[in-house]
Amino acid sequence: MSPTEALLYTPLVQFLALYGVLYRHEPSRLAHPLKEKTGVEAWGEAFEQLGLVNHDEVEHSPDPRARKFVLEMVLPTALLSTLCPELFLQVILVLLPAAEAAWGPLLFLLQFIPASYFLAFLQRNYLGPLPIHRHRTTLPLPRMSSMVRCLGEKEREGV
Amino acid sequence: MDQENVHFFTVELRNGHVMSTPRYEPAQEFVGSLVREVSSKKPEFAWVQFVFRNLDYHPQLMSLKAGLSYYKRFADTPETKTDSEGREYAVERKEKGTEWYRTVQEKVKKIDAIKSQPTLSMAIRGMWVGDLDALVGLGAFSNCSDEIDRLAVVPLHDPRMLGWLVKRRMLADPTEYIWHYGTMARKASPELMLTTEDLPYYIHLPAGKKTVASLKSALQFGASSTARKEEVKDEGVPIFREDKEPEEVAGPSVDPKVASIAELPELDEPLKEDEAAELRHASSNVIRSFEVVYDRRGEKPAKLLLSSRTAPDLARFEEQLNSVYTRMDYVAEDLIPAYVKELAGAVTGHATDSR
Repeated sequence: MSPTEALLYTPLVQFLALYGVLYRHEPSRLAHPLKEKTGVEAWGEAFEQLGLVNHDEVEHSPDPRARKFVLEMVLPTALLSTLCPELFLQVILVLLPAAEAAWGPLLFLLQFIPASYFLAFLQRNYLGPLPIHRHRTTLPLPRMSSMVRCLGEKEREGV
Repeated sequence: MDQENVHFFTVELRNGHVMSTPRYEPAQEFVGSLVREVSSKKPEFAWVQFVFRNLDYHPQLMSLKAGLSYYKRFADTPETKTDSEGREYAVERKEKGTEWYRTVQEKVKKIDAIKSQPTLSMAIRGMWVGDLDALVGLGAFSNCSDEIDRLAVVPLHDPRMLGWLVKRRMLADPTEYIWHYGTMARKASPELMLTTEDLPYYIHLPAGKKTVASLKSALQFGASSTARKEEVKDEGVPIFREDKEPEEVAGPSVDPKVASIAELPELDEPLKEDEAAELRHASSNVIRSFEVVYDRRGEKPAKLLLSSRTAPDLARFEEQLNSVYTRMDYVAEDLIPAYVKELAGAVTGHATDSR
């Protein structure tokens, strides 16, 4: 796939552009998401780390998030991305034949649709709420604890 | 035990203004008030930790002050615009109308007040098994304030927090929250920056006739209140004092040593100001903690715990408390409270049952 095709037929660049704009005040959010790990398995792992339960006692089920990720995020994004040149662009060209000359930029813009979907889903399930402007005086409450960002730190990283 | 009823929490600055050093007034009433409130809300189990260590925040504070002063100068400088006829005119910057601008001076003043004092980092956090609203509404915390900000309880439900509680861990570099203040997205630090002068407002024993009387059903009192530091000298009973071996290194992988205060002294009056000021020295370069553990099933449901990364440092911590208050006995405690161990059995048992 050439760079031009990647630009027009995948929402990658558009996703990065949206992420860059929306998370510009906290670009590291992808690496340090505001996402809690909950459920019986997470409890089991926490107790296992403290030596309170054995490995065998902990429920290790296949991670349902991987399936959810594919079904609810990757597939719809891929579908929307495919529909951009095959359906959305065609509809626009039928309605506005004059837009034929600018089909490239138009297709580029259309790829913001799957990119927005992907980012919205990622925000809900992984990234957490949008960063708060650096000069806002009050913080929302209730909110997610900042500690969530640090919980994944290995012991040697903390003190 | 209902796993859904188990909450963790951190106590953060309500609005994340990093230079704020909130206190509970009147002095030396915070712990009593906290234990009384927890006892009245009767959670199944509560564990509140004050984990602290010396940490020099001054370079970051000076840098923050410079940044805030620069922002103020920038906002004060009128913006030059050109009208349609090419004439230049000056207008006030939009920053000047913001709340952030209005509070800059106060923040700079606060930094100036802190800069002459030693600083420390303190993480207040814990575990609560009971009603979430009761946890969030803990007045002892929300009444800790200063002119800039106040404390707020922020719950979370990620069991990885247990490891941090048991190991009494602290962030490797909490100063990043000062570096990022006003330059990147706003977020509250999970650890507070305090001065050693603030420490006695959090680390103290309940005192005062009324306070002691109201806590007798929750805490074990009994240690003599007449023997004050003049008489104590060296007869306190730090349980690890006999340790004559070379001091262990307080590395991150070393498990903390924990002890509880067997019997609290019945102090008729709060310490005098100069006596309480000695509690400022309770902070060390080694991570220490002061904790309240409440287990509803106990005859005396609450107890106060101390911990340190090394046994000799824990002995020093105990001696410091003995010298400020009175001779107290300390009992070695397990790293993990009994309730949490039972919870492990209940949660994994539930997992096995549901398979």
